[in-house]
Amino acid sequence: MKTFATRLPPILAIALSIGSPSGMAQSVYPVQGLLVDHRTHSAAPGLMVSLIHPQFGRSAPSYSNAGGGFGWTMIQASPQPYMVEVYWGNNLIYRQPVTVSGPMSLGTIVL
Amino acid sequence: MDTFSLTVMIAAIAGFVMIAGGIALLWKGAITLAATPGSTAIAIEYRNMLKVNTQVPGIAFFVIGTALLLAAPFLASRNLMAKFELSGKTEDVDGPITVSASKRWSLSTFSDGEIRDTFYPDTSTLTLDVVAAGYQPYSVPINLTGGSTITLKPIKLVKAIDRIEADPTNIAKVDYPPPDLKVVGGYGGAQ
Repeated sequence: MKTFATRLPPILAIALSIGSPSGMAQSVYPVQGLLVDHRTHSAAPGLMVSLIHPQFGRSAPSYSNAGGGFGWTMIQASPQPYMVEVYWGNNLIYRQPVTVSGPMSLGTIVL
Repeated sequence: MDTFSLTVMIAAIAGFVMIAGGIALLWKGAITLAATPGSTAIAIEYRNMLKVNTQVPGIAFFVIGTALLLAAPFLASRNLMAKFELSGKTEDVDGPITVSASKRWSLSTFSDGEIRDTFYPDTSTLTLDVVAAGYQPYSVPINLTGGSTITLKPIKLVKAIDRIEADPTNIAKVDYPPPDLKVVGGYGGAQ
């Protein structure tokens, strides 16, 4: 007859595997880029950049810094492309697709 | 389950075990609720601060058990997270505004590669960051000790860049309805 002590390790293993993130591992990667204003050919600060995806919806907004840099640290890899959107106020001024399959630099986006 | 919930649950279980155990001990005759003679009464004394004298020590199981059982729902019913109501207004901002509150504590500087420090988180003040597309970020400290209602003065954001008109060739079409700009997404860990 099995005692509770002998049954405990498999019970714990099952419980831990249920709660473990590794059981549902997802690849997430950083995505970064740089915004440049075509009028001044210099960095475009303060613009809101977001990613949209048909499954995941809209990402947290990233605001370009003084050097025009923006980015996210944890974007889930997906065969379906994201769309990078840049806004000035309510106005959409840029939208282009990007497929995330690893750490990604979007390079310089001229607006 | 967080530590607080676990503690409340343990208190409830301990209370139940003490009462059930007291009944079991009574049933087995190990303890009795009958008063013992005064000469065999239990007296607990700690300096001059605490003096407990009882001729019915068995009752302690039930008193402590009941106290633990009552303490558990009392603690669980208390809302330990304070709630704050924030209100304010921005002027002349065309577009969505993102507001976040944060707190940073400056710790020591370490020169030998080892990090070791002790600190006591003080959340009496937070920094509120207000950002909008095309404007410079605006930060204001908010004091949480002045009450649960926080009213901000009107916020006037300064433009970071002149309005940029969209070049239609820069805007790709999507074959699904794009999420509303007002719907703030949470994924990605924006920098």
